[in-house]
Amino acid sequence: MKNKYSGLAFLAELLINVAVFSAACAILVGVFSDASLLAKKTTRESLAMAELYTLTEIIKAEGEDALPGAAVQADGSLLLTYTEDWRQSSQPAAYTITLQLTPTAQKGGTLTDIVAVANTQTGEEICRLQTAHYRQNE
Amino acid sequence: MQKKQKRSGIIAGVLLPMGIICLFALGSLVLALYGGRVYKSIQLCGADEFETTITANYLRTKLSQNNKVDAIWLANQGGTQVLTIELKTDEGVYETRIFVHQGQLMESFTSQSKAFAVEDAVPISAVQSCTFSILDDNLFLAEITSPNGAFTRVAFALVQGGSV
Repeated sequence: MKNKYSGLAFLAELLINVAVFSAACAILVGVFSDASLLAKKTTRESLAMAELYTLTEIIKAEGEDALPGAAVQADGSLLLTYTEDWRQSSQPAAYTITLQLTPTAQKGGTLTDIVAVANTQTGEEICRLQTAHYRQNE
Repeated sequence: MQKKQKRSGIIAGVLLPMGIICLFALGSLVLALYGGRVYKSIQLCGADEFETTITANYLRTKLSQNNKVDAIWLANQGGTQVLTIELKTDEGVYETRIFVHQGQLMESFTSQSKAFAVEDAVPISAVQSCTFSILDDNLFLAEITSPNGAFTRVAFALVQGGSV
């Protein structure tokens, strides 16, 4: 009888060990996956923001006509498409940037509000940049 | 009957714990390998981002600090493309020369009269390539590729007077 109980206790201890180890493994795999995803997301955000800055500087210097490959959308916004490594491309895109330009006539020039939004292929917003540019009348 | 009981005792008391210990060891090894791979990929991502961000921000800062008429231009020094930024002071004219040499973005700050020499420059960041262009005299563009292949563009609106 005693022998039977000690055998059961031993088995229970083993099962508890396996359960604890499995739980620890599952948590660690989750943490590793999260870390990997977070690193990729941070890199993506950083490169997206750099591209948004670049586009707004191009508009500031040359106007929206200087954006080659920009497709005009039905709502008047401009759509630019990018590959996985943030090179502009007309192929099916990994990322897109939408530029919404709203010019408002002022006394001596035009004030243009610029809203630039970077999205993933699935439409998830990566980051957005909102700025304005004033161009004096010539 | 006794023999059978002895055998099951060996299985329960020796083989089962040994098997579980082996399973734990194998699980730990797989986890450690997976963790190592994740760490390596995070480090690569970080390094890639760090190099491109450093280079892009460095160029933006240099240009915004010296964004004056006729102060920024591109030159070709013995086959090397050099971004030149001029700084006029009471003591004379100095030039910041930015170029790529052996996988490094380099900067030298010397008197304008001093000839271009790679030895005068200090490394800023590691790059695979970095090409500069100035469009219509008012838009500076740089295309940066990091050592691991990450690509980023830098555009900067110049006050008129930048030239190639």
